[in-house]
Amino acid sequence: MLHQQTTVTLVPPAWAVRREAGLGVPSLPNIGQAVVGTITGAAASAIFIGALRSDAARFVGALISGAIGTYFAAVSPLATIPHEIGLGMVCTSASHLYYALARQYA
Amino acid sequence: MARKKKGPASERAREARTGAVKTGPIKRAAEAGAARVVERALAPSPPVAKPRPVTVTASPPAYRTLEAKEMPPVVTLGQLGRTIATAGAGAVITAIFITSLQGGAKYVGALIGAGVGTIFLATSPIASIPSDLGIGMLAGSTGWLTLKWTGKVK
Repeated sequence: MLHQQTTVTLVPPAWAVRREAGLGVPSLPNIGQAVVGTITGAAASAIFIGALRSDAARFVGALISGAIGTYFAAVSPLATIPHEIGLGMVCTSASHLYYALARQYA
Repeated sequence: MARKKKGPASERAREARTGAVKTGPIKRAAEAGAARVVERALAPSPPVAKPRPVTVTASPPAYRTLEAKEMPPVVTLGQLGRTIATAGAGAVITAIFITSLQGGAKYVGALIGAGVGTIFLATSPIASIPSDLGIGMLAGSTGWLTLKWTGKVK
């Protein structure tokens, strides 16, 4: 007599929610693209802000970078630019604003 | 001498001679034709179709790509605000975490923040944590590392 074995696949809760909603699970290339895009945006923003001389200029640069990042996150001006770059810029700007306020700049 | 009363035949002859129509089917037809001409003249002219204004919405290329894939093209302001706020919160949390450490532990903290952020980005361990928080943590760690390597931060 044959017995059917039930296979239980453990997935993270967010993936389970996505499956219930009929959405796909992010694949490894998707995750890699998101990570690379975020790092690229964050590094670009950090280099831009770090290149400025005074603390006040860095503060203004962080605000400008945050605004551009928000724009990129909302509407990628080029279809090939993923919005994770914009999110990376916004996040780095936010952390730089914190560094400026907490006087963490060297 | 009494004048002889004119008959219908003489009347038609006079009408044919002078061109003036007084009675009969010719007059009725002429009156009907004139009435039609007057009606046409007085009738309101048919409405001329005005050119409709055409609205052209210029959408960014990324929106067009989404539309081509039949995905919802427009990011609402609420979605954008939630994403930015969550990602910014992740970045600031990481920045506070890193700056609270001392010396070389900051490097380790930044790497830990990036790793945890990557896990959050890929698979939120709690379903209510959005992946944008992981993006913020990863970006915050990367930004701090970049600043440290360039000697701009303590």
